[in-house]
Amino acid sequence: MIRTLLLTLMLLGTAAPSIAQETEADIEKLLRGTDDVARGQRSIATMQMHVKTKRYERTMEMKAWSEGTEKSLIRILSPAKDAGVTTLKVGENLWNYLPKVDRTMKVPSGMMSGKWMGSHLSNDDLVRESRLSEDFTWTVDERPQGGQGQWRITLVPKPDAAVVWGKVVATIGADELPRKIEYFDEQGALVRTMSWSDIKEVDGRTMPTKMRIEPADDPGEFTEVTYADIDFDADIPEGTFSLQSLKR
Amino acid sequence: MRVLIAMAWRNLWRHWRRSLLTALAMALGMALCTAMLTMYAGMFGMFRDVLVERQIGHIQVQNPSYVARRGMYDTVPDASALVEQLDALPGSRGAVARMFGQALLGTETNTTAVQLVGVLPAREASVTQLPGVVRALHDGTDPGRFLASDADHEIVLGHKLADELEVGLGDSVVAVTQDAEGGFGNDEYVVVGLASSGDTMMDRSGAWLHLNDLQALLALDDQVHEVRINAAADDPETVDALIAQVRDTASDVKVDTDEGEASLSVRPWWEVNPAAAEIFDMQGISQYVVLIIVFSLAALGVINTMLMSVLERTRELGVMTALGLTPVGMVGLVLTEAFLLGVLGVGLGVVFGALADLYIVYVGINFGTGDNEGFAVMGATLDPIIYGRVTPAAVIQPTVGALLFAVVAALWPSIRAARMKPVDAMRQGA
Repeated sequence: MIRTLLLTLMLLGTAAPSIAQETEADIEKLLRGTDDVARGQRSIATMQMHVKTKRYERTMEMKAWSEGTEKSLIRILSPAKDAGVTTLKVGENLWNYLPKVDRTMKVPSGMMSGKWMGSHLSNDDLVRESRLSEDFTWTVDERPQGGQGQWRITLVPKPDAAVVWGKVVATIGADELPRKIEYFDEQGALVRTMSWSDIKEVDGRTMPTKMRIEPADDPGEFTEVTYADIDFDADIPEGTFSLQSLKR
Repeated sequence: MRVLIAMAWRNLWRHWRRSLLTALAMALGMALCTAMLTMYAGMFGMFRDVLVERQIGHIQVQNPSYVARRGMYDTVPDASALVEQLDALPGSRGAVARMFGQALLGTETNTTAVQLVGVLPAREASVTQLPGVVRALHDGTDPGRFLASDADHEIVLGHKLADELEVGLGDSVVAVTQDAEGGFGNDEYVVVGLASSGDTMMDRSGAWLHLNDLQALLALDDQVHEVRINAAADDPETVDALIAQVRDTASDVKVDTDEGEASLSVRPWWEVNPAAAEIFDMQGISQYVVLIIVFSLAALGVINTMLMSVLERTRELGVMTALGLTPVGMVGLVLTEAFLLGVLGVGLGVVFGALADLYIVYVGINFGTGDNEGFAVMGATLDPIIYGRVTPAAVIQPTVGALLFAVVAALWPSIRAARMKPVDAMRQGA
């Protein structure tokens, strides 16, 4: 009797995976698409960042140059008070150029958790991007059926990954474009939510052009980045990602 | 009575060496107490000047949220009007306003996180002596000066911070911070002074600049984090009376806090820093402990002298009793002797004490370790040389104490003498 039961359980166990229609490689591709949603090999983008906190609300225009995941340069175009402030990221290092005092300052490690430009992004967010497709193991909770519905994937960081989150839940549309990522801490509490909307065609690529970040413990606060224009295959001059080019 | 005093006086001088030695012992004990009280008054007085008037301020006015968490936004709004009002209160020596901010301070090569303090230099000079933080460094470096009263983009750095940043007088430093509007607050300042405040934290990572400069850097116009009021006199009555007035004035100002709109927090220094208040409470207790120990030793000398004098005069006292001296009279005689001894001791004690005081008040006692750096107590630096302060208590307490102890110490020998049976007494030593 017991033997029959065990046999049945074993059979059930081996049968379970066959329910999934997708392969590991499919999911990895899906996640890579999310990781690189607004990224090209060499891109130049203009965007608008709108920040709302309980203390202030501000809108900045900025221009960003980037090369892969390692290098980027972001320059504030407006408002006038901050125009010219430029952030350079190379690898895990971050410098800010302040035109008012004509000084470049490296962000010290103690300030990496500070807000970047008063937004809900920290300096760390800029330099230490964890990649869903590489730093996590995943389980698929929900999948689209016949082009309808969405993907819901729960991701847990790999033991050796330098990730601050305890768990991440990604919601990706049937069109394989990201809709929402929820970040949880190690106690399982929601820390922040990133969501994407306004899907448009930009430089030949269909992508969400609006990204919104909402911290969970400050309801009503958010940072919204809207892409105005992206050149995914830009001609970026040599030396753009250098301390010298910060001052230009 | 006059006879009694004459007899007591004569008896004292029968063994003048012994009496004089006892009187000297009392005098030295008393002089010691006087000197100690004078030094205590000087030390605690200075400690009070530095810690209470300069470091804490008699009364602090803040946003209640700032008291709890010291957040950038927890400010006192419309500060200049409030400071003017508090400055003018009767019983107030003046009010100062301060603003605090965290920033990165740096040069082309070095950057570090600092605590910025925005002050009104002219007010600080007359109310808190804050400009005194810029003083000669022990290594002989020129410390420069404190902020000018209309300082514009000037900064005073803690001397260890200046070392860390490798900057000196005349160099410029850049401060960067996140301002109240979320932008990059950044500006450049010229180093005009190096501070040795004695507050280790400030000397290592603190900098002072004009309130207007810090308000501009943080985009917090006409707001401050703290208003301090110093009382005209440093006694609890004056401070208490002033607090009532400050509360009255400050209650009109409503500020935004975590719990909605509320009145400003008004606290006397003993609530701001209870540990400091405890130190001053201890002053009284430790004084009395020492007084009692010194006088108890002197009293033992008196007991010894009087007991000896009573015992060796057994026969004489027996005769006096036989001639009709009552037991009360006998007690009176011995106590009078002790009292006169006390007067003699106190007389000498006043002279010795005065000499000791002269030294302590004018020359002072050096507690320094030789490098002239002073010693730090609770974040305040005290001058290494402590000068005494003569108070009425330093003269009155030892005088009254010495006389009282002398008479009380003689009670036992006097009662012993009064209890003698004349016949036995006269027979003894015969």
